[in-house]
Amino acid sequence: MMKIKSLFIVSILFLLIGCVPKQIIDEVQLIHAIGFDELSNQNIKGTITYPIFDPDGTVRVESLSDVSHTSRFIRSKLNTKSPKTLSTGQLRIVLFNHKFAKKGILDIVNSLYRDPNVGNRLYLSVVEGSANELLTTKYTATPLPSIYLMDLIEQNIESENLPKTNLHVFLYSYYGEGIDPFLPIVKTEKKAMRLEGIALFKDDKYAGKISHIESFVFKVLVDGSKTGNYEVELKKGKQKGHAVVRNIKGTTSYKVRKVNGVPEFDVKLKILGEIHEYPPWLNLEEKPNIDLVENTFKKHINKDAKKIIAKFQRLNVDPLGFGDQVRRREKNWDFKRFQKQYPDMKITVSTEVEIVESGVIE
Amino acid sequence: MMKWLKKKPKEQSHTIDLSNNTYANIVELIDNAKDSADFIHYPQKTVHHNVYISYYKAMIDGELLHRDFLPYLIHSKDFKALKDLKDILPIESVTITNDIKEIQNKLLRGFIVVQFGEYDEECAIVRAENFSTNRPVSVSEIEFSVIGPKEAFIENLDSNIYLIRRRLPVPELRFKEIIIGKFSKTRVIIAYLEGIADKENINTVTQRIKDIEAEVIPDSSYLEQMISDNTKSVFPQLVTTERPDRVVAMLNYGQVAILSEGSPQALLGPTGITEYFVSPEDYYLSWVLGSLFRFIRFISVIFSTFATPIYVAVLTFHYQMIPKDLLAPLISSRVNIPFPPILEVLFLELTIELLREAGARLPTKVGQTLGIVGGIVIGQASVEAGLTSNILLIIVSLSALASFTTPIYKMANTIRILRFPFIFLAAMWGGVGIVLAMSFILVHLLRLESLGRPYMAPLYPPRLLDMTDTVIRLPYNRLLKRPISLGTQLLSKDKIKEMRKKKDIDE
Repeated sequence: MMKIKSLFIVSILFLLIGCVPKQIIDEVQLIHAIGFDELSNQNIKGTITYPIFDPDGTVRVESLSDVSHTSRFIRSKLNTKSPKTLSTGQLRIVLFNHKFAKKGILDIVNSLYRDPNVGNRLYLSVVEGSANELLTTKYTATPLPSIYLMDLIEQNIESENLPKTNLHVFLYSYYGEGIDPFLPIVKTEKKAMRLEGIALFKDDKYAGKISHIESFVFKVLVDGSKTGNYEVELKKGKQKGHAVVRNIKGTTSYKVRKVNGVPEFDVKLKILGEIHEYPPWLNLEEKPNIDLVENTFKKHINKDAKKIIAKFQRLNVDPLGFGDQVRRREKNWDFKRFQKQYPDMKITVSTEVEIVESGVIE
Repeated sequence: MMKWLKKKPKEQSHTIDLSNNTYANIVELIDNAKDSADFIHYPQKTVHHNVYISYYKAMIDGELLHRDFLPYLIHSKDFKALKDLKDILPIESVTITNDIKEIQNKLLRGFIVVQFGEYDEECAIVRAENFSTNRPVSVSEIEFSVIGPKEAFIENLDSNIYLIRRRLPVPELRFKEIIIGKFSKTRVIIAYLEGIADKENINTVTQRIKDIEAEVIPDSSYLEQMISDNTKSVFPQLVTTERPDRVVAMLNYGQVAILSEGSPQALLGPTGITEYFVSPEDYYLSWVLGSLFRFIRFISVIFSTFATPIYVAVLTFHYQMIPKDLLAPLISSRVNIPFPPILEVLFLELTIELLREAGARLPTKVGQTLGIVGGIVIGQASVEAGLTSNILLIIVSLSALASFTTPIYKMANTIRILRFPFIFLAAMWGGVGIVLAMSFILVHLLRLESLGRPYMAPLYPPRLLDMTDTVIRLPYNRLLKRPISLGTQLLSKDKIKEMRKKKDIDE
């Protein structure tokens, strides 16, 4: 009896093999990037790119695009044009045209994160201009626009002004109360791409942007940073010039006070920097000259920080998570009440800058 | 139902039972022996009598016969009765007997029989065994080590005993002899250190060897399989070694060694799984190097078992987990290949298995050529013909290489076979299949025993003190003298403390 039972179980194991779907790697079409464009009359234009690997080791890019009302159906339409099954398992980046993003991207993001094939480290990005154009342009940097774009974002997170962003971070800020998501903005520029700045979102809708130079402060404000370069204009007497300060370590502390039930913020930035480039008339061996750079830099940073925070308040978006800061410290947290208070909340910014190195760079 | 599946009652065997096949009397013995061409039986004149001398020509030492036996026998005036031979001959072992069983046994082992009459019941048996055909003790080839002793066991049991005894000149070293094999009458020696080896282990081994019912024991590997706890397992449960230094070290640990006549390999038990990946060289190098090499060996076992199954699983089911930089080489090498990954892998794995098998069966010089032909020509050609991808070729040859790092040959073979169920399950279920196969093997290993002691010890059941000499080897002053899991006596804490103290010069 036992024998028959175990035989039965083993045979079931073998019979069930048929139920496991096989996806042999060279028999599926690996979508690397998807771009969505808004068309008139409520239509969406979807563009996908996938790499074609030749046996001699060279890689080509192919792209397909189609128009439909929903994003999911675009894929089904695209499958009618593709020689192999399209699969999202290697999806690296999803792009939204800025007009498209203004109408909300939740339906697409939602279907992405419910798809177990798609990783949470996927990059999302807003395109200024046409996503289709961005994905179909031939670039000189690499044969695959998708890899180009992905490396571009990765590299800028690691060494430049872009704060950390991916699907996971987006979902965290989207679903978190008192914090709004942001995404990088990219743009085609002849034979290259360019990081334009940061797109601010109110819920899932594109609400405004900040420029690349402002995103230096933004990165420090979001979660501190150890990267980024900033250019300052120097004036001493009649002499004029520019200096570049590299961020070594930037941290931000938020202090919340309650005044008559309304929260007030003290934002304190602290940046350790080094001078990378400076005009030849400036003698850095003299302390006053370093102080000059320090003070100018400090002034600029303070101004930028005030400016972007004012902008956030005006647009009623909260990518820095002021609400989240309040929620952490408050027992009777009321999101609606905070939303009403936010645009007129008093936020003071103070900056502390210390130039720690001016000699050998890096 | 299914009557044909049931075992039929065994038919009566027609073979003669040689174990009790002693001839009834000396007449029958000599007449039967005469049928064999190498049996010599002739009358010889001596001073007082005519005697009959019988022996097997090939079994005796001719020089001894002519120099030490015949001259004394023929010319001695004192030779009046058979018992006088004890005084006359310069040979220590002369017995007078009429026990037909003893006469037969000794005759077949190279003794000379002397009688007065052709069929006299009473015989003198003189020892004259021939040892000249033994090969000399040679360099170990299967478990080679660069530094350390090179000698290896040979087919002669007495030489092997000598090799062990010379390294352990203590009366506590005991050799228990048991004769098994109905036809072969093989001498089997159980070696252990009295007072160190656990009595239970000795009894288990003795019991199991005594219970063996075999006709011929050509090699100790037969014994190993016959006394194994689980004969269905692919894992060897006793270490097979040709190195006397390893045997001596393990005897000192409290293990029991089994040697058998005609086999150049000793068996050691009870063993844990980690012991099969230990090379004597680990102990001859400094502990840092020894541990590192041992660790590499463990890693290579894991690599060689899992590399190809993971390749199959990832390429068939989990393309999502391939990093973006690896996509291009993987896909472009596979684009032209007409097979699914499983067939591709099986093709290459079988090729390597064929090469190994052919190389092992051929003489060394031909074997080398074969390796080159197989490795370079077949590998290159099959990639160029589009039968396999070159990435897989690298993985398969690396895992083959990794599987050869295991010092115990029997375990190395097990590791090579182990990957096949993994490959099949990976092709059927992907990653889940690999986990399934691993669970089966882990459960099997956990239930496995070596001479009644857990095979996974000291990993499971965990014995922290024993682990100082498993995956890594600590320096000698940190090593326990004897593993606890072998049932030997534990050192006291004070003793351990004292052991770890550095001895200073003025002490």
